[in-house]
Amino acid sequence: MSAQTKNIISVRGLVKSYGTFTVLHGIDLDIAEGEVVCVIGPSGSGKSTLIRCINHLEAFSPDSTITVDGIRVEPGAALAKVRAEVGMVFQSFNLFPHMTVLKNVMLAPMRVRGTSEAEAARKARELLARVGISEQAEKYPGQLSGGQQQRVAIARALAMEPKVLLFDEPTSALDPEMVGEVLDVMRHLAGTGVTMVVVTHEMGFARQVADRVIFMDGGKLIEMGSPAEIFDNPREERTRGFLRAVLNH
Amino acid sequence: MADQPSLDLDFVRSQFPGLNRGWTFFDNAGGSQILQPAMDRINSFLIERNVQIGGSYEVSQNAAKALYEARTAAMHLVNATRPEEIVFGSSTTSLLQNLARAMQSQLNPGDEIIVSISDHESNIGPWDRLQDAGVVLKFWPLNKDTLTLELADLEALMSERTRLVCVTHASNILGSVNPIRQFADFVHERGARICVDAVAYAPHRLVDVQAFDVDYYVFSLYKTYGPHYALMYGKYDHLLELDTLYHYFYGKDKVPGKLEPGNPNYELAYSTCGIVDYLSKLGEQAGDTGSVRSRIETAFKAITAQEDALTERLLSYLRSRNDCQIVGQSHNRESLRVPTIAFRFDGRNAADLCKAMDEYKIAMRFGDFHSRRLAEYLDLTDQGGMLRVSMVHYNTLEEVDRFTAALDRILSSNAGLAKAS
Repeated sequence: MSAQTKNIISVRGLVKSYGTFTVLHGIDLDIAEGEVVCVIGPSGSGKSTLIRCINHLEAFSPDSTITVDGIRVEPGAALAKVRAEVGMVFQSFNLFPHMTVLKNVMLAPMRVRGTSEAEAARKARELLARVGISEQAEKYPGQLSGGQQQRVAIARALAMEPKVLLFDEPTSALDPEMVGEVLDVMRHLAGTGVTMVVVTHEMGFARQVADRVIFMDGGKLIEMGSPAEIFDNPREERTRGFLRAVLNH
Repeated sequence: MADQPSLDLDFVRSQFPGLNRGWTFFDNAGGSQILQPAMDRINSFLIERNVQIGGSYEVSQNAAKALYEARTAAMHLVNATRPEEIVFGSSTTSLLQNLARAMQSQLNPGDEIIVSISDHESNIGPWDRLQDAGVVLKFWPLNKDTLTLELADLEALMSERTRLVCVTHASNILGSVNPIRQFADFVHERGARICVDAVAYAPHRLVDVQAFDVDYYVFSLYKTYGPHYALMYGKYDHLLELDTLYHYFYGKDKVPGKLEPGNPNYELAYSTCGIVDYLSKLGEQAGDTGSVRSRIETAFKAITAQEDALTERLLSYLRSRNDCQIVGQSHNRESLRVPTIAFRFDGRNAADLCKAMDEYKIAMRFGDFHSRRLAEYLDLTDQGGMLRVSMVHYNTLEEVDRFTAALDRILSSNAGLAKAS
């Protein structure tokens, strides 16, 4: 990323607690427009909580600040604006089971952006083609494999034309043979201008696709750098230990 | 006994006749279904012993025995030290109002009572009214970041004039369990007493008033698998100090009768035996053949395991939507969240979404659930307030799945959009 590139996400002093248990201990992070950032780390390290805070799916300490495209993320009217710009893809696909794939992708732009039905349908078909499942448009989610459903979920998120896409372990719930097709879609997405923040256990993907890799542990941002820096020459022992464990697994 | 006791859900559901009528009941924090054994006790009292107590004749003696049995059952249920520590009343609200009235002679102008902002109005209003007698009311705030009550905030409020701290064991909105023993120790060290509203806790977790070291502890039987009735535990010595609410010739030593003006409703009190019988049976089925109390303890371990599964199923659905605000902790850590789960959807009116659910025969609730001060404090009163799913151990994962499928349909429609503000 160029040093001149504008930051689209800015996180300052992010603290998040669940009751008396503190999950995030003062995270500072800037993410540039168009950047692809992969967040790695052991389970329970706070990775998912971090990205859930970015669109305020988790409330966080009022002393912390997060801005997305210049808008402060906080409860109130501005939050809807933030969420309209920040798409999210979860582990579970959560497509509406009683609606066709096409309708699932059309729904949000029609409702939130006021897009006409014809335009929403045109755009939805284009996106389904982009994620490689145009032929499934008239099917219902239950007729699709997990990998296909996740690709629909990505198309659905893209339908809102978000500036930022957050991925929360998007392949964790998939059978191994379906992981590749979803990662392929994400790989193609990277570099199209959309900012991506991806919480993942797929180290190969992170190494190949990320502009920057962040390693988290114990609710802290331990180390970040280019994939080569993190995977080939990690500075911190905790990063080395984690990578040894996952890469030798 | 198994390390992880589990429930025989077929048996459990067979004990609640109301569950067979085609509805999914997710409004249990408003009122649970009643147990058949509780109804059996009510019926048997009305048929066999339905007279006034205090007579010399056999039926009256048997009625008095039934009331004593009821207090004994409640003693086992909460682990009181003696049956006389149990006071029956029509609801938690009325019991707390009675308690406040019965404490009046102990309180002087300038004495202080602390209430928590996260409490149901039942444990705020009665103390608030004592301000007319010069008592000073203070509010223990909730940390909006952690959604917990913090002792540092309580410390700042307490003074040598603090007589009582009133707090909920679990909020009926947030669902998280407060560390009551820790609170009690803190309050006692500063010379005050603690009064706990356990309405949203008692249906879900083991009550042990001795382990909690609480002074007063109140909950509703109609949310704990019984009829519309309630009970209050009080330490015996504290109950002795309370003013009589009954006739003038009921002296202070008439514990607990002086606190039950007009006498308790015998048949409803007697239903407590049915609740305890049921819990004992659950404990027995989980392999515990010990004392009644031991079996109750085991029953609640099994209940907790079932409720944890229900909680996680619903929370994981809600967490995976990017338009949902879970009110309270979004994770159930160490079983410290009961399955009372409030939430809101962006731009959607909660009342309309809730009413749309009626069509699916799924009973739930919207609004502030009479914890209005908390709803206002957290700024959650617009758009119809919150939706709340409140489950108990007789609910099933299939019911949660049916609910989320219905919610998917409702959310994909325009329900609740027009009225959002």
